[in-house]
Amino acid sequence: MNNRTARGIFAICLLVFGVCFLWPVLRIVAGGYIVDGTFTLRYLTGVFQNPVYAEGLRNSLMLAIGTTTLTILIGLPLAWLNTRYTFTGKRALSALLLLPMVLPPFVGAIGFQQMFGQYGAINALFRLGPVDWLGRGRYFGVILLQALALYPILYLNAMAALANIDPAMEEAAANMGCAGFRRFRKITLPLMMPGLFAGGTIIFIAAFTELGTPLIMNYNRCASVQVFDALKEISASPFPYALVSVMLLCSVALYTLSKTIFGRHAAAMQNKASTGAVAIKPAGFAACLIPMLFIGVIAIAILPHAGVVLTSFSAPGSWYRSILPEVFTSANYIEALGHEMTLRSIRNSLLFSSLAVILNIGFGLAIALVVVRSSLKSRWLLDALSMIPLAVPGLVMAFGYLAISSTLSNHPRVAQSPTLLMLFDVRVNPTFFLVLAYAVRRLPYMVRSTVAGLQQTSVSLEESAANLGARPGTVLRKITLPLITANIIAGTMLAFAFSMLEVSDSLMLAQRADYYPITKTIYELFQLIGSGTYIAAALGVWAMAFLAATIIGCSLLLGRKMGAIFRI
Amino acid sequence: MAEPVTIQNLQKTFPGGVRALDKVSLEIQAGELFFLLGPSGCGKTTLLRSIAGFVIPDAGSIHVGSRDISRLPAHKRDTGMVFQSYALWPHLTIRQNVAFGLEMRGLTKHAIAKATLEALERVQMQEKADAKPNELSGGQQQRVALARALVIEPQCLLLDEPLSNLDAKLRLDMRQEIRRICKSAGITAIYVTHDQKEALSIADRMAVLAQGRVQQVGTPREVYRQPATAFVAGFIGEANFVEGTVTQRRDACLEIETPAGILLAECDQPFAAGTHVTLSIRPEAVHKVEDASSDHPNRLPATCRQVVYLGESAQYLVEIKGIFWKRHDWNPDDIDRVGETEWLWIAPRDVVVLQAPP
Repeated sequence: MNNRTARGIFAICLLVFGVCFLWPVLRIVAGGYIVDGTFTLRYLTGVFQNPVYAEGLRNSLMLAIGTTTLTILIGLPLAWLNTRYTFTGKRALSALLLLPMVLPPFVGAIGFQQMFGQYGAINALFRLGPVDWLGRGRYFGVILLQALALYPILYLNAMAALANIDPAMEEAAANMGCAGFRRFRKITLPLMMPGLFAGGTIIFIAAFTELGTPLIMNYNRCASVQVFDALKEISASPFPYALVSVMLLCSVALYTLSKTIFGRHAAAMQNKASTGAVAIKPAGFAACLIPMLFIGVIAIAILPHAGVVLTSFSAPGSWYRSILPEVFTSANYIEALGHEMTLRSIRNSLLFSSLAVILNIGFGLAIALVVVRSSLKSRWLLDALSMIPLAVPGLVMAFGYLAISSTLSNHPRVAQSPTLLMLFDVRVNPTFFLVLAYAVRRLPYMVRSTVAGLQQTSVSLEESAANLGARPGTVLRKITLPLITANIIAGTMLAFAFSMLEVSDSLMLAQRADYYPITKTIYELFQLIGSGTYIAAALGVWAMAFLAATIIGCSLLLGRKMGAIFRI
Repeated sequence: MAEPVTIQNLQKTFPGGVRALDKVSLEIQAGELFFLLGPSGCGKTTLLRSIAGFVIPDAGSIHVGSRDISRLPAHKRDTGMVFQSYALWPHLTIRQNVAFGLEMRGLTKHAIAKATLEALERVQMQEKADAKPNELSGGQQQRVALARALVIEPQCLLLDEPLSNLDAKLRLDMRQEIRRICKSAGITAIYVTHDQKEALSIADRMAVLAQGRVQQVGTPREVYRQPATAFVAGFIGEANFVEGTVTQRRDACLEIETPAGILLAECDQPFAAGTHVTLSIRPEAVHKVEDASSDHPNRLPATCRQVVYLGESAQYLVEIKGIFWKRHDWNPDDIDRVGETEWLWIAPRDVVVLQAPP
């Protein structure tokens, strides 16, 4: 790619990035710190002084620490066992271990409530009477649900980190007399750190700002739910802005820390491995124990979602004080697909996600081409910028867009034009901002996937086409794109699937029932008394089936490289 | 103290049926710099990794001194290894890398610091003690890897193609450096390479391997001058091979009839008349007859067919009765011309008689 084109793309991306990303962030900062034209830290200190907000932040932080710790405890040993040993059913179990990625914790929480409720399946199974598990352990419930949904990210990162270690590093330690857990602690673990921290950071930020799970679990004393509840005051009080800016700061600080501490050492493996790692077949007891451990984790991880499936098949009110529902029915599914509200939400989600993915493909490809195929000195900046949405929580972005929408719709020119109001006022029509939010949030997946494809494709294939007289556009169309099709499709599928089940943006930006996407509809249905929970569960199952099909397709296309997409 | 290494009937077949070691037996003497030489896939690295404990052989034994280490786990074998990729741990400094093995042996902090510094001084890397591996050049990393392996005073040192990641010039310097360090440490060292020049230049003795079997064991001079098989002759340096039949013995020489003519070969092996043999003749052993009246043995008429001038030598392809031979002329005054006819001669001691393939 010549430098002129690269500079052009660079400038456009920078502009779009400024408008779609920097503006909302600045708007949040301005909203919390510039009041009546003067800079003040009053509201920031107010956040920490207000006992409710301070408790919310503390609880969110504890949720994030708890979730991250639990994912490490689950994901790290499994990754290590998977790399080191061959065992019965390894391929199938490794694939099933990723299943929670297709099971949004937000939906799982519905099943979890059914099972751990006062009159739920667990109490019925153990004949415990009406023990209020959720009342006592709501906090741990949220951690457990989040950890069970997020551990695959850590597992994939740990696997990639382990695969990256030259086996000679561990052999050298054995050669010096160091073996067993001591070797793991002194050599393997430090070498895995960059990958582990990368995965841990994504999980920490996700758990810190997760909105859906605490909402469904009715755990309201955390910052994300407080922000959600404060949306009504968005144009009246600077407090929500200050609270969101604290969450943003924590996330960005952690992301920066991870990049600066471990980013430099990411290429620490300087020499190509001289030998491949060989997985050993364990003998005796261990041969049974390892697959059992995998099966155990998978079983626990899918338990909440099994609860959702059971809920979706149970007649309203029939799963009460019993281990399983007493009356099964498919009526909920029929209603879920026959109800105007649910049908409309599926249509909306498909439209929003498709539009977002089109934006993703265009920008993802353009950014990847500049990053991999140009010689611009500042191309690293574009690469780094496109990854930042991973560091900025969806909740923060959604809040920023809401703030912008609020500002724009109050502008006299916008307020007088119905067309502009349709575009910019989320209370009238949130399509524009939802599409933008979905696209920005999923851009990193698209960029990483496309960059990986381009890096694996020799530039000489393109040069030879140019050498035979093909123009740059023709080279792109006839050579480059066909060669990286699998990567683009994989990135597209992931971006599309995650947009379909996006929670934070959807809950916050969609404010009119006509424009509710699937997740907001599930949330609204769940809150209805009567059959609402059951229809919500059925809609959740439809969504999970859809996401499962997408992820399976994606992993077939990408194979082992899947892990690379979930890194920062 | 240096210990001998004895390998007896070592066998290893990898899953998929690849036989990497086929009854390999070797006696490596204490304090010797011993080379395992052979092409890719000959089993030399498998043999070295078997000694280190990273490959478990199917059968056979490995003794270091009187200690049978065949069934010991790698971390209990006390063999210092220099890896092809050096395997310096990137998260530790050079000093920490070198001190690691001593820490594992539970030495006192003072003893570790002293021994680490001495080891780094031995490889002239003391000034880089606090650097991280990625701040060092390939040659420097190589030295540190050597220091790390030697500082634990192992019973034997294992080197797995240690120079293969270095550029040509540095490789030449490091060859002698490795020999100097090994000899100053007085250690038994086993060195794997596929580079014959590396082996010829610094080995005390070497074993040539092919297809998991030992083809020949000897000093560099023995292996080069008296190759035991056609494979060894072809792998170590270049050789012209010609088939022939023994016609009679004349004192210390055999008279052999070949398509190129009758040749005399110095040979003390009892080949009977009528035996089919293969002769191996080095290109540099084929000389041009400068004085027509001289009384050289093994005179052959030849026509020059190709000339490659390399500065320090000229390499010719000559045709002798329809057979093409290679001939190298060192420090040539004149260059032969293509098409020129000439007389060539070979000293009988340079004609090596090998068993003909069955």
